[in-house]
Formats: sequence, C-alpha cells, structure tokens
Amino acid sequence: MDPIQPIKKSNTSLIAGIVGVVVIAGAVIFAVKNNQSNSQPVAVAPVDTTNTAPVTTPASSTTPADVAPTSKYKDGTYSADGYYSSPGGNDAVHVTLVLKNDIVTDATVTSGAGDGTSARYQAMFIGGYKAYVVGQDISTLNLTKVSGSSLTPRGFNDAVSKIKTQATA
Amino acid sequence: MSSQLIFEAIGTHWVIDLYGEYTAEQVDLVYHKILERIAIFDKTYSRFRDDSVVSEMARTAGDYVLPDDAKELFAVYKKMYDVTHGLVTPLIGQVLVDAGYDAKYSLIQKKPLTKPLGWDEVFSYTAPQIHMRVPALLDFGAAGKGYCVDVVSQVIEGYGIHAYCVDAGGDMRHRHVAGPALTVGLEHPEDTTQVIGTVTLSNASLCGSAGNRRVWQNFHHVISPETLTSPQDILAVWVVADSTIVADALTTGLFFVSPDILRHHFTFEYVIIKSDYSCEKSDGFPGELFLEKR
Repeated sequence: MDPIQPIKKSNTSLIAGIVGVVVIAGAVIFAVKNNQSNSQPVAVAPVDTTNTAPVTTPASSTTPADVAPTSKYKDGTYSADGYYSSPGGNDAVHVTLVLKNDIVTDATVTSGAGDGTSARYQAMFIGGYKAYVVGQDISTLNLTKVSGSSLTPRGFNDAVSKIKTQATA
Repeated sequence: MSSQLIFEAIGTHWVIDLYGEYTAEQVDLVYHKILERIAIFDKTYSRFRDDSVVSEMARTAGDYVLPDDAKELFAVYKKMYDVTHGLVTPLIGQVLVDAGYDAKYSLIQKKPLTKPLGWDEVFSYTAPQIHMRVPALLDFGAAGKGYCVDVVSQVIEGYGIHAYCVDAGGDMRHRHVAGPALTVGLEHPEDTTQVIGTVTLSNASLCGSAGNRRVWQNFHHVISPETLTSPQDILAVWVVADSTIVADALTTGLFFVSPDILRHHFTFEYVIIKSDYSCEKSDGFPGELFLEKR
C-alpha cells in the first residue's frame, strides 16, 4: 500500500486540515476496502483550499458584553473540494463544515462519487460524526406530557382534510 | 393531591394542573377567572376574529389603547424584531393571510405575497397606546400563545397558587419549587405515536414549533418576511426558557437565526431537528434525544 500523501499546508490550514481529515478518513475506508479486494493504490490529491468566506446568519447588530471566545478556530461555515482516486475512478467530494467552539457541529458532503460504492462509503463517513434522532414509541416511555403535536389547532387539521378531499374530488 | 382543568380556548387544548389541595369551589373560581382572562386576551390580539382590536387596527389607522399586558408583548416582539433584523415581525400578518393562513383557514394562496413594511413605518407603541400610521394586520402568532400561558399563570399566582403547570397545546409553564420535575416527550415531527426525546421540565417554560405541522401548499405556519417562503431546512424546534413568551418567540426565531446570535440576547436552551433528522442541542438542554449514528 502506498503511503497517503501529506496534505498540503497553506494559509488556510484549518480548512485544509479539516478537509484533510475528511479525505484521509475517506481514503482509509477505501484502503480497507482495497485490502479486501484488489490492492490498487489509493492516492489523495492535495486539497483545494478555496476558502469560501464563513457564512453566517444575519449578524447581530449589538453584541453585549459577551464572554470572549477562547476557541482556536473561528466559528463559521467552511467549504472545500477534495479529490481522490478510487477503484471506481476519480472522485470528488465537496465538503462543508460548520465549526462552533472548535467542534464540527454539522457537515455536508456533496457526493461527486462516480460509482455507487464510493457514494455509499461517503455516506458512511458523513454519518460518522453526525447523529440523527430516532423515534421511540410513546407507550414505552413514562411521560407526563408530550410537546409537539397538539400545536396543531383542530380547525387547521379539519381544513387540511377538507382541501385534500376537494383536491381529490 | 392536585386539580386539573381541561378546556379548549384560542384554538388549542389546555390542560392546567394545580398542585396542592383545593376545594371544588376554589378550583371553580380560578377556572372561571382564567376563562375570562383568556377571552380578554383573545378579543385584543386574535387576528382570527373580526371583532378583535387587532382586526380593527387592520381596517382603520389611528390611536388605540391597549391593555397593560401589551407592554411585555411588544417589548419581546421589538427585541426579537431587532435581533433578527425584522425576520420575526408582527407585520407578517397580511403575508400569512395572503398565503392562506387566514381566519377561515382557507389554506389557498390568494395573491402574490409582498414583503411587509417595517415596524416604524407602520406603528409606534408607547404604553398604553399604539398609533397605527397605516392600517395593518398584526400577527402575534410567534409569541402570543406562549404569552397567553404566562398571563394565565399570573391569574393562578394571583390566587396564591405557586405550584402548577399550564399547558396550552404543548407549550407549557411549570412552577413547583419543591415538587417533582415533569418528563415531557418531544413528539416525533412525522409520527404522533413516537417521541424523539424528552425534556425534564422544572420551574421553567417549554415551547415547541414544528415546521411540518400546519402545512399547506408550500407553506407552513412560519413564513419569512424576506423570502416570503417557509423555511424548509428545520423540522422542529424546542426551547426551554424562564418565561413562556420568550420560549415561544425563540422557537420562531430559531427558524431564521442561529442559536448563537439569539443567545447573545436571550437566556434559553434549545433543540433543533433538521429536515434530515440530524439535530443540534444546547449543552445545557435539560433532556435527552434518542440518537443513532447512520
């Protein structure tokens, strides 16, 4: 197995670093996969360090005496493209990470995956640090109350069903 | 021992628990006072009834004297308006109506939507008076229900009752200093038989807002005054705060503005469920989410 090429350092080392982690992790997945099948080398291309400026929601006009952030990285949304070769051909991933207090709080990877296997591994990787909520049956839990559903006013539901009836008439 | 009041008002289902021993007469007295108080609130602020003050302000410009409770309502709305750069605004009323969210729940868009005017262009409020420069339909849907919970709680506390829970359709206020906390399920946004987590509610308020409830055409009950569309990236939001009005206002605010920005101005804990069921919650959120890695 060829060693993974180091990620090129640049002035946007944060993004490079993060995307590097993404790409390396992706490469590791492929490396494992390759061990099991044909042992085609995995190459990791230098990360495209195009910095898209941190995207934030409308900035607050007044910032009262707030605790000075002690985080190492600036909070924000960062995007970059990564490229790698897989047995299925050359693939690209467009990675967007949301950083808050030095923690990746959200991530999306636009899969440029050329083949289904890559897409699947990319999906696995994305899921690695993103947790999803799942439902549990109310009846299995000892709850005093429930918040959510009853928000729906009755009249509204009636109106919706009426419209549905009209729409299918 | 506790007493429970269950009734329908302002388009929602109320369950009020009074913890402690009270006679039937006492409970009945409190109950009727609560209904009276809600009726006054509704008659002032509901855009769903033709005879409300708000409906009159939509027809005729000029000066109107509002009840005392308007002070806090306008204070919270103004703060939210400023913090969100106008995205949370009472002036969304006409947009909601034009989109179909009207008194008759027609749920059919009537005409192309137009951006609402700014706060100062339309009215100025100096308690107890509001001056409407032009007629405009104000909508207090973002915080009005939560505020109504607070107002009802004031009635209850006025009788010296300080251990209670006022629950208006899932938006609730709990006060019971020495008593047990409530375990409140967070309803699954698409399956009412399931919950996706729980909140331990103790001496605080909880409000929730789900974007895929009250859905019609491409809209749900939150519409951005800027894009004139409903945010689609968030399925549900829950907020825990000291007061119900603030918790309620923030559930709408979180559809538009990041929690970090709002936390510069308000003290609260939150959960946000995104449309892919990924989630975000504040470190201090008093509850748990049922999670899985995918």
